[in-house]
Amino acid sequence: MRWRHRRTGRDLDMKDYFAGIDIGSTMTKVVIMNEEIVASLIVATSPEQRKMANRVMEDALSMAKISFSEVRYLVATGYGRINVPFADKQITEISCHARGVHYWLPSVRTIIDIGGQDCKAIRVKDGRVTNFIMNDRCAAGSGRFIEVIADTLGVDLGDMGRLSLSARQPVRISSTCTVFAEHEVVAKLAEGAALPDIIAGIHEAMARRIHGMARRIKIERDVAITGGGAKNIGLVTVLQDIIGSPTTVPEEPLLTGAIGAALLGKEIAKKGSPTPGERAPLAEASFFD
Amino acid sequence: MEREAVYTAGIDIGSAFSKGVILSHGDMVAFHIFPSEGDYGASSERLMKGLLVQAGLSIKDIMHVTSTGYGASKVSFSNRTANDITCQGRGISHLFPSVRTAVDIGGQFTRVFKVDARGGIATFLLSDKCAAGSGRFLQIIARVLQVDLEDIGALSLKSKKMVDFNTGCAVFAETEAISRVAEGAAVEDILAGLHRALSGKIESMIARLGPCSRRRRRQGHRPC
Repeated sequence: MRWRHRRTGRDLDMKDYFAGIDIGSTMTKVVIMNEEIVASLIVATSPEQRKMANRVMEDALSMAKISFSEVRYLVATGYGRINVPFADKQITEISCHARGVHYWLPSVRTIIDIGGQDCKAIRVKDGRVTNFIMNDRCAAGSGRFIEVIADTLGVDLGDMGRLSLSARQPVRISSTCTVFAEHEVVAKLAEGAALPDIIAGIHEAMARRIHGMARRIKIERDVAITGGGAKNIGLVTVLQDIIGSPTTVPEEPLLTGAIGAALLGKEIAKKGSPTPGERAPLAEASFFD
Repeated sequence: MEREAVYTAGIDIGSAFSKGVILSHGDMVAFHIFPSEGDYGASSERLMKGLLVQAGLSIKDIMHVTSTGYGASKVSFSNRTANDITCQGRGISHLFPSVRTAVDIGGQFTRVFKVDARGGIATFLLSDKCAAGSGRFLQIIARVLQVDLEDIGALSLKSKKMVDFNTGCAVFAETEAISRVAEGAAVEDILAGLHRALSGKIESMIARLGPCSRRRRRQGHRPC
């Protein structure tokens, strides 16, 4: 029963590893760290989340060249966090993002996280959440909005940001709803609008929507943008204009949730507080041995 | 003595369908429906011709033509254009005089309105911001499930175990429907769940419209 020695409450040392696994709607992220990040992995979320969680964890462990038993504490977060049976604790992605952004950008007070199927604005102080607001009810304002439009335009999702930068006169997209915006885009194409102008218009519509939500918790500087949306340079630029303040994007905007999870796990282990609840049966943990 | 027939026509050019009727003293003499073409003007002419042939009349026999709908302004032969909500109210109260609340589920919008005893609109609510409560929602889902739009109603009634959908958004519902299919859920159970989700959205619109209150009346709404 190798997992038992992980909770003997001995003092932390350099050799202790902490892991965070963030299962998002679209991407799954894993981070293993001690004093610094020793391994990180980003893969697409697959429907069988439990199997996938096992597999990515195994991959991350081999990247870090450690065994599962060397991981002192493992925190799962994100939309699929309940599908990680081997986690010591589940923490919401809001707390994890707050902590993870603090790791890279301690001066940040507002985080805008643009995920694949939702969007959140989080107010933070010293890595702790003071207020937040989120939209997971409607595809507009989430990464899905851009995904649908990219599909309609036949443009690679990864090219959307770069293409929009060459826009001369962004098209005005009046629909909020993704479905209606899709029709509007088709109509604009038929009218002969240039592709970059349409994409820029889409980014603007999305940025307006995100700003409309985020300003309800009062945006305070510094502002960080995380999640897949942060990888879209076009969107980040317009969002910056609309918010009216410069924004920063962390080194790897997808990883902040997983980093936060690992760091929060470290804090819990430091306090020596026992893991609440029963951990996964050995059968599932030994999968990694 | 028999009254002389007075024919009036109503032309409704919607974004999806063109609809027209000829009435004589409130009785329907002819009606015609077909999908709107890109050119609303041409659609309206085709519609009127169809109506006249059915009724065995010529355009000179029609005393008054009212056009309504998205393409109303493109109807060259109309005497008047009217707001489609006004027309809905009159139409419903003509057919069902006791109706006070009506729901119109269109291709792009859903409208909920309260009708007074004379067929006037007391209040109304329009959802044009979101596809969730509209026919578009069903269209998308029918396509995903590869079922004919006309069949989804009947199919959904065969459901034995409704699949719960926890989203109202058409885009998210599409994804959810795909993953339910992958999990092996029956098409009729998915359809039943989606109809429930759509109804929930519309129900909340009706609730938002609220009961007729004195306060609303004081705000200038007509009693209903």
